Amino acid sequence: MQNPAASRKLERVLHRHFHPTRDWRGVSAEDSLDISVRKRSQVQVVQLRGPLRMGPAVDGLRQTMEEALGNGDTRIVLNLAEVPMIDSSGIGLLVRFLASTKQRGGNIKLVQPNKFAVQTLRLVGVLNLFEIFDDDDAAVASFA
Amino acid sequence: MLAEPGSGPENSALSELLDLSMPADSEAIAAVVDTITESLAQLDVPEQKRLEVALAVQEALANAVVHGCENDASKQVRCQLKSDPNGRIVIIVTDPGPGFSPELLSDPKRSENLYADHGRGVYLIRQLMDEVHFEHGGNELRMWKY
Repeated sequence: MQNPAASRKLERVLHRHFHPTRDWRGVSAEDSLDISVRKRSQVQVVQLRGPLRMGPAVDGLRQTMEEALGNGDTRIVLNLAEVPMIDSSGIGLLVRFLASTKQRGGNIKLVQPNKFAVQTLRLVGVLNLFEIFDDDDAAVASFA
Repeated sequence: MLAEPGSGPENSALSELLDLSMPADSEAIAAVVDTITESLAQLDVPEQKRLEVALAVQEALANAVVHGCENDASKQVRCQLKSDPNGRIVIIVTDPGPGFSPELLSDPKRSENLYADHGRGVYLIRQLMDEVHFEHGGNELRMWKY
């Protein structure tokens, strides 16, 4: 098993911040999704902060996932602890890339989806498609 | 939940709380959702209900933008928030599109649809709201939360 300390030394942080480019009618929309990506033990750990919904947020995550797959990274941990809402566009993205990673021998595993996100995933019947963990360490270790 | 066609709470005694129009642009949806959420908070609607309504509105506006207006930002989507004397709220989303037949939508929970990247919006709305009615050939959506 790789030394966690050594792994952390090898972490590469990629931070993207997506904002809507326009404020509609002077209302400041709190609709930004922060995406941070780190590599740990050959697993991409993607930390999301903000709602995962149609628009720049889903577009940004899609770009991140496509880059990961393009680089051959098919083992992905998605930390949802700070994601208050996932809409059907976000769910569609998650299941689509779940299928893509699995086809390549990988997986997408979820960390700490909140109560409402779990409710939403369950409502549309996809909750059981995902493995869910309490923290990044456990999710990363599960790929070993 | 779904009501029988044509039934539902009376519309005559509704108080109008918000009447918003937005361009049919996905980037405009969040501001409308947040405005509605803030209004519900001011009405002391419990958090769980606010979350459910917010997601239902998000889905309704997304459908209006994508399907009703084909992402044409020159078109407008209308979103109204009303309440009745019993404290029930109704959200009305209207788009200028040709409408659709909700009964023709496929079931997203069928095994062959689980990995589909779309097709869950209307289903979610029906699960999150207490009554859902499509009017005027499908381009007006009325959804109630008790």
